[in-house]
Amino acid sequence: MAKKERKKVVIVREHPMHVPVSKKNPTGITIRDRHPRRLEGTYLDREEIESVFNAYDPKGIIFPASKKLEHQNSDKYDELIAVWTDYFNKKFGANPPLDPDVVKALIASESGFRADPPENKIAFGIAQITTESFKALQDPKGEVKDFIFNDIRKKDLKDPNINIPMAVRWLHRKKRLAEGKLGRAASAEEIILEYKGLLKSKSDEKKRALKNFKENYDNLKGK
Amino acid sequence: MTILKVNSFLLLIVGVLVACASSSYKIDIQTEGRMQLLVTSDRVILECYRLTDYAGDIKEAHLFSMNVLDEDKTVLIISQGNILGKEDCFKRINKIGKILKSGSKIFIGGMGNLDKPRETQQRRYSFPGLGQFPENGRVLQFMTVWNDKGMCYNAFSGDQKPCPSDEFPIVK
Repeated sequence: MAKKERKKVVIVREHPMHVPVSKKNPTGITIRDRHPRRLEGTYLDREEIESVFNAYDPKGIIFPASKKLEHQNSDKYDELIAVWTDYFNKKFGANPPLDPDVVKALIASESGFRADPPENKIAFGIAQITTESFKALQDPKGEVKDFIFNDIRKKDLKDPNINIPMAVRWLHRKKRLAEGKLGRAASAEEIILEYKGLLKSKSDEKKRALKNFKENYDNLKGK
Repeated sequence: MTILKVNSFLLLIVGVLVACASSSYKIDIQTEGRMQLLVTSDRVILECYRLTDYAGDIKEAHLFSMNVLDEDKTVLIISQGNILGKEDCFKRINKIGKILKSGSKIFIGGMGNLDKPRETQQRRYSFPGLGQFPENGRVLQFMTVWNDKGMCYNAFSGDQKPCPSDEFPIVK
């Protein structure tokens, strides 16, 4: 019997809605057209991100290794990394789970823990999320439609509180893709190669592109 | 004519000697995980390496690195951790090229350490006037480069002031 897919979107009928009083809406009420709404638990917006993080029970969650990297602010975002890695590991039932040290080593090599590195014009924020990834993460019909982000603006990517959960969600997608391509669990390096678009590369380019990540990851693991 | 030939030969010898004498590399200062190198510009090659097997969403993806000839005549790679577009990568070459050209002392800040034994790689780099030398398998994460004339470039914030900043310079 085919597995019944849980509904993620419902259609909301036309309804009145309170808005700020203005010339256009002197009564403070407008009519909102019929529109789709994603069901709770299938997306995150800015408010939801904040409330999930603030209410998250830190008991038993795995933190990335600290005091292992020499970058300024290298341990500043450990709680964000730990909470969101744990959140998505549970959300997707990841087995094996994503290692928070993978997230931390990726951030170290991408931005050196700068919240808003301005020099790269095509990737944004602490995890250097590209425009295409940013779009895909919010596309209700796209490759991560089973769990998306909603109403996030590009300028929000400068905020690690927003950027890190989006990067972790994207890493989960890449982990799953890598596992599909390899037909087995993917190593930390293979997940990052898929993230960097080089998993299937047959040249030594993958080695070159991975050098910084590997160095940081090995340091976190005390190798 | 003979005198001219002898003079040209002497000039060549002097030129080579001066080049050899002025070319230098040293670890200026280090802490665990941070290295500050002091080199002359003839020992630095800037590279934008085009990724040909890349399947991601960055158009004309490149890796940026500064390849530095060390004291053992092997090449250390100081690379930017993230993949760049062609324009961003060559902008680095242009800006850092000016720092190399105008400074007599070049300081390079990188994360990592140089404790690992050298493992000679197949890839070789050609340094004008010095020769061809193999990559040594060591790597630092590129953070900052600056010179004795006050010109500076940071891997993440470009030439925005203050520069160098944050992790560099390492305070003695």
